[in-house]
Amino acid sequence: MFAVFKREFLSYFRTPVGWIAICLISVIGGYYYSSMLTSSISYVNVSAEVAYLRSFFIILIPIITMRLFAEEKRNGTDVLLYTMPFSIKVAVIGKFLAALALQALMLVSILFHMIITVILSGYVSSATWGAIFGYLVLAALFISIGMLASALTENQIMSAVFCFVIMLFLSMLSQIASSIAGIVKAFLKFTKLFSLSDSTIYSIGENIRSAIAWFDPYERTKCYTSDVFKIVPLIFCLSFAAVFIYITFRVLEKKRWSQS
Amino acid sequence: MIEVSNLVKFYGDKRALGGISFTVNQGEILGLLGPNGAGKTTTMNIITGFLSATSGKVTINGYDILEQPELAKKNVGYLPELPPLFLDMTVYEYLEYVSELKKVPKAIKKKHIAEIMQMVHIGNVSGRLIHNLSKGYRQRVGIAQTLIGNPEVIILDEPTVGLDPNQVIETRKLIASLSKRHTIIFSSHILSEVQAVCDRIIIINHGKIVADAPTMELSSRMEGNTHYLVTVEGAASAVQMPLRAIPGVNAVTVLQDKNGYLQLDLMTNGEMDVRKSIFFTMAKLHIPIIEFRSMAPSLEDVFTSITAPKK
Amino acid sequence: MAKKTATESILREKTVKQAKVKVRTDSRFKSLRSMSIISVVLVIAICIVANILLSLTLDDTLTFDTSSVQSNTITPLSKTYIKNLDKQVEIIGLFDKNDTSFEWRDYFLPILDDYESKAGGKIDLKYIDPDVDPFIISRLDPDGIYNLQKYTYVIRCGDILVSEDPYSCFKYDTNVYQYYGLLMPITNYIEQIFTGDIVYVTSDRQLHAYFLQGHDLLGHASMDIILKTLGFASSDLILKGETAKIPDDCELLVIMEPTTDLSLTEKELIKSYLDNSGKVLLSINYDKNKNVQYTNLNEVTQKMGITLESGTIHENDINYLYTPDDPYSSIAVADSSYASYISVPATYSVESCRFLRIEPDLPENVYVSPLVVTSSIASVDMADQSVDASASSGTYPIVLQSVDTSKNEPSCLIVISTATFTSDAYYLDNTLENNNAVFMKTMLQDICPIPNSVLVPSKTVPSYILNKPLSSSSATMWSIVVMTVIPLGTLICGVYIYRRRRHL
Repeated sequence: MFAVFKREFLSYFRTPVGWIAICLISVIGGYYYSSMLTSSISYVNVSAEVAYLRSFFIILIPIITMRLFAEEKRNGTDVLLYTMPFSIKVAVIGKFLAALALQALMLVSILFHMIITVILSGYVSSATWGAIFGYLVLAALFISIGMLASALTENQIMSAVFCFVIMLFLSMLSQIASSIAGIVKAFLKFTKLFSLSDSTIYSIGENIRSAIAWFDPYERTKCYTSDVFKIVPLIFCLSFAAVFIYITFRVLEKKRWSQS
Repeated sequence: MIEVSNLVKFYGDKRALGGISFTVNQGEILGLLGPNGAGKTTTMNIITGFLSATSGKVTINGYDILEQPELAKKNVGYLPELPPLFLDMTVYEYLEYVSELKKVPKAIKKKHIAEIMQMVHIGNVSGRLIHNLSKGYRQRVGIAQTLIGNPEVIILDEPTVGLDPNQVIETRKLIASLSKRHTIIFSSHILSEVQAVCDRIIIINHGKIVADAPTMELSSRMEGNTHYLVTVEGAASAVQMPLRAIPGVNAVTVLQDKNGYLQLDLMTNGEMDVRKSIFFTMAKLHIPIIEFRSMAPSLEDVFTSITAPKK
Repeated sequence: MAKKTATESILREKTVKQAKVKVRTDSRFKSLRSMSIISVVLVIAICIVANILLSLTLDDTLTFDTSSVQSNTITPLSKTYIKNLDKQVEIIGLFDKNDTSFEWRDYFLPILDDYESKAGGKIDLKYIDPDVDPFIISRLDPDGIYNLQKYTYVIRCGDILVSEDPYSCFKYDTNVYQYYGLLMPITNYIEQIFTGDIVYVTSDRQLHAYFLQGHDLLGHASMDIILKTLGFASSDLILKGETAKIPDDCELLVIMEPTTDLSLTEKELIKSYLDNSGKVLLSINYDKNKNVQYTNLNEVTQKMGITLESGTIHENDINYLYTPDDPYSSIAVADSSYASYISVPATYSVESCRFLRIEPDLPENVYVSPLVVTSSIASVDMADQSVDASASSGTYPIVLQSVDTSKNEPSCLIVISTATFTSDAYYLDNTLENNNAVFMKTMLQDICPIPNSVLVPSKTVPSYILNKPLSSSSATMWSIVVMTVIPLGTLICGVYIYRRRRHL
């Protein structure tokens, strides 16, 4: 596992991908940070910056994960992983950890910003560490999704697009939930299907909305930014990441029995 | 060592393998011969566990590739047709990675890699990026990769394709030298190459084994039809009849008739050497022989001779 | 050539024949396939079910507050109180929980979750967006007396409810507000306010306000509603005969627009009521009752340092007038020191204000303070024109508060010199959300606070403002560092390594 991790992690830096990703995030974060510095009021809250960076997952994660398996399949190097004396599981976990490590490394610029804040006699709250923690937990979930997308296709662009679409869907889950609930409510109201009262229809819609929004990973991990440490969202993200890793493994292992 | 029994593989409705069985013994060099699309690569992919079969069984050293894949794969080094090289790594980094995958103990890793690099003559490029290597070198790095961890079985899929003649010869030599320590399965669509390297040849066509015999036996069987290419200075009418009259010559076909030069294809039954008779016949007729060479039998000929009932 | 094709056809024929043989797929592959699919489905199902169970059961237990001042957790004070609640309390946020346009989300959501989780089912926290469920407001407040708005919280127990505006749960940095117009919270009163509200809605004690009858009181429906929002029940009170007394549960005695003077009995009873920490609200204008001599009433108010004069306020500042030719109907403003003490609206409409004089020699322990005043150039028209009492122009009080602190619990008298704060006639044309009504609610809540046994200390909000202000040049320098040095550093590293490796 370590071998796969090492190769994958270093390969981010052998090719420009890793450097560009770090550069990109430090430019975005730097912009946000410097706009806080130069604001007339000198309000510098690094945890807000981390929360802001979360919205760039949708671009960064596909870039990081698209190559994981798609490139190997295209170059024929996946043969190595299949014909080596270990389960493909190990390779999947190794690659996942490599992408996560890169995500973590990207936050180095945040570390610099925290140091600068302290130097400038600012306040670095525990919420900043919480925000970083939440960031990584969420990254783990999204990387596992991106990795699955990469395992499903041979084309990196396809993989990136696929991952992007899923993440877009997840980031809009709250809105989607509300609109689905709205449609259901309008439908029940309009058709008078079960001749329900307005408040029943409302509570049905509300339940549908909260059931769908239950899956929203952004919403769940927000607590870390506001200085609340919750175990359950952590388990939620990591367990779903584990599920996606497992599915990735099964998709790749399919070669062992697939008839097509 | 390797036991393959009744391997069948369908790609959808298309059958790639139709029941292939053979065994490979320790220390053997086995050549898989067949035209493109015959099923050589499929067979090898199934043996190495890269692909599943529709039915059939592969055991390596007694371990079933499906049931105990890790133990089975431990004994195999595989070089697919497209070498699994990471172009962004240097040769040494790559071999180090493979040795880590193959769980070569850390203590001997360096020495082991050095040995292998020496064996396949890539020591001089160890620090170079694979991306910048020539095809021949890449192929050798691919072979080096199979040797890491000293697997008992080495499977090479068309290792000489796309190489220039010098590189081909070198690669063949390399394979021959490996046979001292490893069991080798080797595939090719070039008869002469297989003949030159292998102890035993399995010929596959359309997913079926057409022949499975030691090289010597097969070679002699194939000599049944030997072709010669003869170019003479003369007219077809003057040459054809006398040549056909020579005992042992089965057929004479005119390949080309240009500027007074006549190119002929002579098919002999191979039981007797007809070359002297041809020379003297032509000499008698005062027809100069411009070119005279024996032609390597085409795979088609091989199939014909093998599938033809023995006399 | 002919032979070649013949061979081919033979071979092809053979293949075709073989293909016709039906090949059964190895059962092992089938079992692997089904195992793979089943296991994936199973893993997904287990994960979802386990997560649902977990978030339903242990979510609250496995929540930790990492903030430095524990601003997301309720203090033991609140915890003990809500643990012993014997009534069901509802906290309803009138907005969507995920609505990010609500600025103070991060301050409110976690701590209110904590209230809910620590109350053992006694507190029910809900978020209902009135835009999505338009009936919610009419369900909560059928009479429309609380004026519930979106982005506020409602704390309710049975019929009693309180509405809290999140913006009023903080103290803001006044400098920041002055210079940048930004609300930067520095002190957080959320727990103080919410626990106070929970204590309030669950407290069994019902406050009583009594309206003194017998002096041509026209009606007090508007005051009833205002008092109801503060948890008061209103009753009428007649103080006549020998058995007359002010009930013990009288929290507030209201004397509204008396057109006759007090009787002797009333005078004595009210005086002794004020001696025993009573609270009296008197509204008396100068309109229908200009010729009435309030000897006994004046005795009561003078005890608290206020004299009701037979004169009316004459507003001279044209900016304070509705129509230039009516100096008796004007705008009054909140006294600046009162406004800095409590948040009240800035302006009020008043008319026919009686001239209230603060006694120059106040009795001991009595403090009189103006709450609402005129402009600085108002004057007084006395009934007896010969008397030029204090005709000089200046600021005159409209609403006065007098407090006697000689007792443990202070007594209090509020005198309002206009009818526009209390009368039904005024509120007939104006809503109960206008400034005058808001003033009444705020002022009464201040003088009749709910006895709150649970007073949670406020919490500081960590300030992210740099301690030492950054000069613009050093800000620019640091911006350049973060914007260029770090990204360029990584980029140069990347380019260097890439170029070096490329030529290996």
